[in-house]
Amino acid sequence: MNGIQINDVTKTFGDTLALNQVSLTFEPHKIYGLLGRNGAGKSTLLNIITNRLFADSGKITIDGLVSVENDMTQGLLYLMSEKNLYPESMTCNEAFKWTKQFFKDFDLDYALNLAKQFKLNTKKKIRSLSTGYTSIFKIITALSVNTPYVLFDEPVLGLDANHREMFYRLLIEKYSDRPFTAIISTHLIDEIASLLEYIMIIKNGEILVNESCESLLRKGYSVTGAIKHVDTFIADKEVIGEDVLGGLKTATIIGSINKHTLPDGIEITNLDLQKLFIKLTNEE
Amino acid sequence: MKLNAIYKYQLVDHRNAVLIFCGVILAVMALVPMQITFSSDILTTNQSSQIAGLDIAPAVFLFVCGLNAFKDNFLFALQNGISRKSLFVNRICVAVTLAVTMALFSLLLLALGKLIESPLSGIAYSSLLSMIYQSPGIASFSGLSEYLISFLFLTVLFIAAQALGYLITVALYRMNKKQKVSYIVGFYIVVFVVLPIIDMFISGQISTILAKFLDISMGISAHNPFIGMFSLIIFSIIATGLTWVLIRKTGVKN
Amino acid sequence: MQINFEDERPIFVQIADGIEDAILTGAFEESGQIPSITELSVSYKINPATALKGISILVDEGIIFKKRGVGMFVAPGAVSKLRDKRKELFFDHYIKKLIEEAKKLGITNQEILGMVERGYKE
Repeated sequence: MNGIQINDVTKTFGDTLALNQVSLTFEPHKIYGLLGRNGAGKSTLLNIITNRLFADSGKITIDGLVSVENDMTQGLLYLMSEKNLYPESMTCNEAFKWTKQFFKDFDLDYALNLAKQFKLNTKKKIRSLSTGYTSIFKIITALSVNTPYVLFDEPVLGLDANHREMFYRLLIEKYSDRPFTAIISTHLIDEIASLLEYIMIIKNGEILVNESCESLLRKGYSVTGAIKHVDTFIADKEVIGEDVLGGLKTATIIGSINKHTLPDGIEITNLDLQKLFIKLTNEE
Repeated sequence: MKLNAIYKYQLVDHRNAVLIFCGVILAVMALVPMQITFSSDILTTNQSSQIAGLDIAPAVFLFVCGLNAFKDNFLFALQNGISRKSLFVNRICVAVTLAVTMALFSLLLLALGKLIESPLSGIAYSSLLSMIYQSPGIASFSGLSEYLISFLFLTVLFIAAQALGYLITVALYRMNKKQKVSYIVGFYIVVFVVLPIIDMFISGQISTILAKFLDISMGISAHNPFIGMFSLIIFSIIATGLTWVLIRKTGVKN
Repeated sequence: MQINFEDERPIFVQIADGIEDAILTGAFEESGQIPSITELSVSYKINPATALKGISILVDEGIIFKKRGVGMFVAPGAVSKLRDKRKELFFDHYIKKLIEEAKKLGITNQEILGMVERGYKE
């Protein structure tokens, strides 16, 4: 069985339940978005998959093999984590050199080329880089490592808009050139939603949503129009968000819609994922 | 491929420190005869220099190496998909490699020591082995056997020194800040305050027992370095076993 | 071509529609090459699987054909095929609605034709 299978994984830190019986499947050659607020359990999940932490119970297999303490399965994964695990005094160049020793498919020329594109000074020590450039260093390594599974934990942390766009572009290019499974944990959904094939939303250690991006978008819609019109229209519907701007009102609604019965003066657009995300992950 | 890499990585991690250390020791060795050569009236003052047990320095050095060999390597191994088991097995290989290397270096020192040792220069060089175990009439080391037994003894000693350092650093990594402070402070209080006071009241029984234990386990009175080697091997195995118990389930800390 | 995430059409449909438009306006010529899946995904920042899905619609309809190892091309006769298809849609989307609205307002057949003529003149 190919892919990453997560079965009933539970993890606690002291009294805190970080993951509660989580079961998920990541299929080969797909791009996944792992969304959740800070502390929802995203990083914990990624750390358990990559053998950095141990689950209290449950099982994870990678291409059918148990992932715990297994050099072979771990060689199929690369996690660019928020936490820096590179030694204090290591320079980017040294890190690239060593990564090549550990991952035989690491493409050093490509990495150096990306470094040039991002204007990363590879002679610098990793720990001396700014937050943005630390992210860039990690992104470059993750995009050059060529493992079948690449996990990105908050990849765009500290990046400006230009660099974020570059990352998205490079990710697509890499993916087209050499398909792999990308799992991207983030809370900036709008920017990345169009890249994602599947979306998983995690809240308080539990999986709230696990669906293809397309079907998630079909779950609801937004309507815009004069306040009065919109109010009558949404009266009997499940509304998850309302915005008023001047006399105009936009409401985000869960449910399907019959376009032919749409009253005059109301315009319909796709569900706003960021709003859905905020609504779903809000503490009640 | 990957196993090789984590072995190589951990070894390279020590390279600079080892080179600097060897350089310093050699410089010290060179300074002693120079000082004697250049100080004015040597022949009249009948001054003599002793270089004794210089090979205890590598043991201390390797203990410190052991202390510094865990955290960074552990995190780096995890980043690169290396399991704790592989890291640990390769760490043992690295420790043995370093021990053998430093033991060979100590033999070089011994050879150099013999070279500069003469009644004329007033320099006397004695190895750690002869310092601890030599006794006129019972055990004496000379020629090839001194080199061979020194090599074996030092290798085992150096492995034990690293095993101890590594165990301590792994134990400290497993503790949180509070535990760390209380263990370190507690250790010093017990060893340097509580035990000596009790020892005083029971007329030095503790220190006598400790000394006796050390004597017997190291085979000092028996003038037998092989007893010492045996004990050091047992100690290394126990320390390494404990270390594995501590590493086995260790996670990345936040 | 514009991809709008808030458009109610799914993205792959938007991709297909966008390429159709480009062919109809002549931006992509018949027998000419069109951008690859990668180029499309990069320039519109979409998942390549989505772009592929959009292109597949056009391939199935015979608007576009793939040459192995070379790329994708506009099929000869694609423009007329598209025109026919769009004319069908034109009737469904515009004429039916026009007549529905005209009936509400009591506009006769003749009046509509007159209006259409006026529209073409303006």
